[in-house]
Amino acid sequence: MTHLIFCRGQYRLRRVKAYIFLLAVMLSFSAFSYGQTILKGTVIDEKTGEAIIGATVLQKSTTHGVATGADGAFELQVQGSFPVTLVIRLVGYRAQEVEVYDAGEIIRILLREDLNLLDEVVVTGYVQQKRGVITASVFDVKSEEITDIHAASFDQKLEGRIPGVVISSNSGTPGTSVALRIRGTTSINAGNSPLYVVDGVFVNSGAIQQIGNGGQVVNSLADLNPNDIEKIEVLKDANATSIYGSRGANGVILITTKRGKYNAKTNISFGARLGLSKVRKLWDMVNGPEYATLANEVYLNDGGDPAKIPYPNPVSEPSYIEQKLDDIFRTGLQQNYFVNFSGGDARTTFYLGLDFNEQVGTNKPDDLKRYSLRINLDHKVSDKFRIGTSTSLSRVDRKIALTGNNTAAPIPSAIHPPANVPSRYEDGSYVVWGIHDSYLAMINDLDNRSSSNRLIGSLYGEYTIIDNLVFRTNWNIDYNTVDENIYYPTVTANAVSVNGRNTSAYTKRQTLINEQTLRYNTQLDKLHTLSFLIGNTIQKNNTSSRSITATGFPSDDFREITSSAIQTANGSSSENALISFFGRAAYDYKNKYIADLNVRIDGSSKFGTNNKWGTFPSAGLAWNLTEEEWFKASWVDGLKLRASYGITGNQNGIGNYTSYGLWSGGANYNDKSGLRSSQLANPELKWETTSQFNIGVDSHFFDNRLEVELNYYDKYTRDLLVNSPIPAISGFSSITRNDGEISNRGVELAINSTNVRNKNFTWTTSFNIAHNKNKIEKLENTIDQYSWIRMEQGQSMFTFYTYKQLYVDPQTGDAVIDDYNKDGQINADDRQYVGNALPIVNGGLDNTFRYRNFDLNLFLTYSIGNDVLYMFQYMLQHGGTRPAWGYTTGQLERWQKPGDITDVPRMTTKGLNYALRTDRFLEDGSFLKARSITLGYNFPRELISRFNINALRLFATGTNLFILTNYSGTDPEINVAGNDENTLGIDFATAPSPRSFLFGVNLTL
Amino acid sequence: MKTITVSRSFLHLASFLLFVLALSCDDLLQPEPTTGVSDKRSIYDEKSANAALNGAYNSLKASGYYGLDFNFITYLFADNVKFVGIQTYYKIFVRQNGYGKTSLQSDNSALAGVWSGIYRTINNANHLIEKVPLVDDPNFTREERDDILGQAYFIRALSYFDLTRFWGGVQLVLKPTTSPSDVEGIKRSTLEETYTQILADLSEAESRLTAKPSRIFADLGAVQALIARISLYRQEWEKAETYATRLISNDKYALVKPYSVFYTTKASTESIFELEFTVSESNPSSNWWRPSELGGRYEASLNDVITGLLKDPETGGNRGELVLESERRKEIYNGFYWRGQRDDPEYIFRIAEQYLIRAEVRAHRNNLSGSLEDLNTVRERADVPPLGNSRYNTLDKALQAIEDERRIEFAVENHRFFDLRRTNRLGAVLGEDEAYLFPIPLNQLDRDPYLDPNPSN
Repeated sequence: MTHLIFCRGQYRLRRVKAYIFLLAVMLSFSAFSYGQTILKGTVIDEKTGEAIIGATVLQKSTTHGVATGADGAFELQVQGSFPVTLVIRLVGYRAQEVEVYDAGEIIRILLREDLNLLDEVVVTGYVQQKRGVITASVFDVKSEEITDIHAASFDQKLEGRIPGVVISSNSGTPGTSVALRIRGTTSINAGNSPLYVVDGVFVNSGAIQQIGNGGQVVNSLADLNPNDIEKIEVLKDANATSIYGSRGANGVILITTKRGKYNAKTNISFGARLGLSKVRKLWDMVNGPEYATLANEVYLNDGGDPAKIPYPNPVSEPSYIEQKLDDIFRTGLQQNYFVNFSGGDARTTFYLGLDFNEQVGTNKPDDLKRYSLRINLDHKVSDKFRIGTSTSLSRVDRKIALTGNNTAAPIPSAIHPPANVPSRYEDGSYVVWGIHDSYLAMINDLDNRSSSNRLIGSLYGEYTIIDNLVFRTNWNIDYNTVDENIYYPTVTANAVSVNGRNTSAYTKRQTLINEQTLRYNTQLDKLHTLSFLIGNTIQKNNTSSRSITATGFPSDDFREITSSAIQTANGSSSENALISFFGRAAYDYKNKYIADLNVRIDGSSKFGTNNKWGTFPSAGLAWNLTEEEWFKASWVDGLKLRASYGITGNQNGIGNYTSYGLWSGGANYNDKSGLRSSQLANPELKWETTSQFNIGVDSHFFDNRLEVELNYYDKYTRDLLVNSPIPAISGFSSITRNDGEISNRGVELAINSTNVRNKNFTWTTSFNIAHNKNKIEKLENTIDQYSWIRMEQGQSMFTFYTYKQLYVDPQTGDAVIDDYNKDGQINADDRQYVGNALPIVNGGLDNTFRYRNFDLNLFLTYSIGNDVLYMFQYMLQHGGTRPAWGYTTGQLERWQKPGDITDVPRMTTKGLNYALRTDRFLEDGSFLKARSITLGYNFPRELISRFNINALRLFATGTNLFILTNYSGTDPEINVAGNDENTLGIDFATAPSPRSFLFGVNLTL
Repeated sequence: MKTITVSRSFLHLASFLLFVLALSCDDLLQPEPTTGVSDKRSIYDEKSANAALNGAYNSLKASGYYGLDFNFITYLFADNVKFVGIQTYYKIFVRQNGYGKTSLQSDNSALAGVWSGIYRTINNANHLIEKVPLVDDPNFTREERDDILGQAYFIRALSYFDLTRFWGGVQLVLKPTTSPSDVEGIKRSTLEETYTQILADLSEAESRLTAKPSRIFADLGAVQALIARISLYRQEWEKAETYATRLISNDKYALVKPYSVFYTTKASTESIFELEFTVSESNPSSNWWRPSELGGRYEASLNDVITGLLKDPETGGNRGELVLESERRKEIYNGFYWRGQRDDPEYIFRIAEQYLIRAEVRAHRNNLSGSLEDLNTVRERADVPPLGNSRYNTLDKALQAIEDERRIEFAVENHRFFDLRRTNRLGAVLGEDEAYLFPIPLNQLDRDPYLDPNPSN
């Protein structure tokens, strides 16, 4: 079998299929002269039952062959006597031999997809390579693997699929940002998000919203329709990413969208999904009588007069908390409909995709609607000249519930006030409680919307100058406008004294990219394969924004700014540019020994005059042991060792004019314009660079039924771009400079296995696990985040730094805090490192069972060793120190009388019991999550072909059905500060991810 | 050989593109910021100098300084204001049971905000002081330059004075910062050295400024008021009396009646210098004081004692109007922040203070009758019965009467805590260390090895 796989290695041409097709046509012409028996048949995909176009059908030991046509059918003239043996081949499928005994036999050949082929084409930086000759760590995810999981954006769907990639949804709100880190966190201020490249376009993944929603930001990748995606490749190591130079330090995610095929009949696919979702778990709150009891206890413990306790009869206190929880959540609805048309003739291919997606969130009034359109075209102007486009247009409309750390957000406004506080006064008007606005007003009356319009487009022209020398030019755009509107009616605290408040913001972001590449391949003596690439990129980004805040509306019926009495406005714009030159050279000897070199030179407008340019080289080596003559183990189908080293740069997260000394306007007084020194110059500012060493093994065993990929990497980031604190006597609190180093070292393992495979039943398993060790190797000044997390030299990122509560004294009920520096007093110096939000290992486990036409998929994700700060609990186990705030049921465990053993101190507003942020609220956030369970049924082809249907599939998916975790909050993956890359693992008043059930149908004509 | 010619033209095209690229490189990589200008284009003519002056006032009214924290945390630290909110970095300023030593820690973020807020204002002033004399603009007259420079010196003096009130002697930075290395190695000056610098700045300001109609920009009157206050703090009685008298006899200033007029109208005749806020640049304090049903956070309120004193006709008189109550939840709040649009001013110097300064100074200078006259002038405006001679016949009685009067008259202006400290009454009234100075912010000590801590650190 081994030899069958590698024999296809001789087709070294890029357009393998086209070549085979031409060859087949030529062969079939030559076959005419013999005028022998004609065999007829069809070639069909074993899995999907769809006709296979372009497969070669060859009579064994001859040169007679044809390619299958649009319906998978072929007619082949064979010579010689029966039986004859046919060999059917197509890249991506296992070759098949069929014996034909009779000319009249109707031949139906099932081709089986070959997932583990080393010949599989992988798109890496600017070139397509066969997997067998790649020296870097590249992981790909095919669209089938993620199509059944429903999420607004594709990045959410990748969770748990790729070893070494940690993805966590920051909240259960549809279409909010996702924290995605490839091989750890490398940067503090320059950004940790990977580069997303959609059909060659560098796509902006950051949000451009102006109106804050309380910590969560919208995910601008939700602008892309996941159903258009053909394949996602994740480039992890430096040799794969360094051709992207300064954009590649955090890894690169390449997205290839679907395209039509030449000479294929028009294929129409339709899909529909409809689902319901509901929050899986909510917070346990005390009821009215329990609240009153606790409030009395605080009063008495603080030395209050027993005759004047606040609630003489606690049992009679009403309880509204259940009602409030009911009010803020609802059953969510998801619906998604899409239709794709694809096909092509000899010169032109096309793909048209349309999609409508709606997600009604479980927390009111969240709602997301996406409308998208994609047009992909390729056209051969001549044999040498090809042009084409990938264009997507989308609109995303959102209704947004404020979340998290925001006193106007529905969740905290409903839950923070005590259980005995109603939501309305007797006259029906809303209760506004302390700093918390009425959650009912926020749900019913607040009008918070945004809509994003996005155009991602690419035009290319490709010209084959001479054989194997190809020039390509790309002209790309990513154009995004976001229109936000928030109206606070007079019933909200924000607007009560100003008669309505409207903020209207408009933001435009535009990225223009022009790119040229020239590539050349050659083969010498059929032994040495050489390929070269050079190219350049010019990229220009500009962002501009306007916002108007208006107050003084005649009534809430008028919400447009024109009806307001007073308006204030803001506007700004900024731009940056990147100019790059890059090159690549690769060599392999008989597929056995492979070496490649990449380099990119980037010039960035963000840096000081002397440091604008950075050079980012890399090199890789690989050795295919199975290609060696001496390699005899027949059960090993492929064994490749590879190593690479490279340097990449980072500049993403910093401002456009960070190296300049600036004076800014807007420092006004008495409505007269003012000017102030706003930023100190740093002409020395330069690139943050990450060097990475990677070694890995790719292996295939037992007839490719077992595939194991193992990687070890060592990443080291230098010259970290940080906002470094400086003495305030300078008039400034910080300056952006290169200070600090971070390392990430880790191991990744991915295993794909076909456990059972026979005619009716297959069982496959994919498992991945990754470990990453992060360390801040050098940092001059510590940096604190969210009052809980500290970055300090020698520690890992995302380490919790706070007071440690040793125990609660059973005699006094007082918390005993660790006097860390042993100086006899408890103060800020006694804080210590108590936990970390990063997992020790994480990954996913995917099992697929197929029985006849049924399939069942079980996909689990897991994370071990990550700590979560249950800040919600900290806020609501305040022991009385937050007057007029309610409690979670955890507070009921408080110390009450001598002898009580508990870790919840005595209720009191005095002393240290509840005055400090202690580690009592830090929990183990390890989890095993049933990310999705899908049951599907593919209708038999025989049944549906009568109706001209190619494929029909019905399925049902359950998402987040269960989570096994010791974490007592709603969801260990929550993060309150989705807008802050340096904060992780803080759970505070954020909507938990819901459990959902979804039904879907896919139909292909 | 068609292929060759085509490929040639492609190569030409490619080299042309590279050429264009090389030309445009420099421009592309040097974008001009649109919302900022480089240092060189900062203060270069009359207009930009005026804008930079506005920038300095903007810093003065920012939330780290007079806009909020500089005032707010000392209110919480003293005995007129109670805390009714939840913000932990404010709550720590409140004394448990209203008396006793503070548990304030040096890592308090509000305190750190005041430190950096004041030094930012100083940097603004330093830029003006250095650059305005060098501006090459023939239309920028000597008088105009002096006016701007005088205000810059005043703002710097006020800033250093406020730093001493919080922390004692501090690091003196007198040049604008262009790089972090500019402020390396500066040690704290003593309190006396800091005062010397403040007085030097004030005499620069005094020589340059004239009396002007404006009350929202500092003029000669504001300089005189600050000199009078500093002289009182330094117990230079004669100088304090001289300057207070200059202001009291200036007919630009007069007590307004009733008391509420000075805060219900903007820039009243009572005002010597107040910081203006507008609808677009609203007063950050407003949010923290206003009750929730009026859209505020309601974290602080007037306590029962001061409410009683203000409402009592014998002590507060018409000053009781300062105590407002919300309709629905009957929450008591500070009448300064009555404007729904939150454009309430902050009052830095009022003429009432000059009367009370002179009353105190005259008492020390054995002029009890003159002292009582000044005190009663203030009481009369408030419709409070005048004090009789019998209750004002010793220095101690007089000083106590003045202390009591100042507590009510400046119920929510930033005097009480500083008055108690300068008269050595912190221990008796608040139970605090007599000479208590705030701890130096921990984050600053971490960043600056030359900065020495305070005893309270």
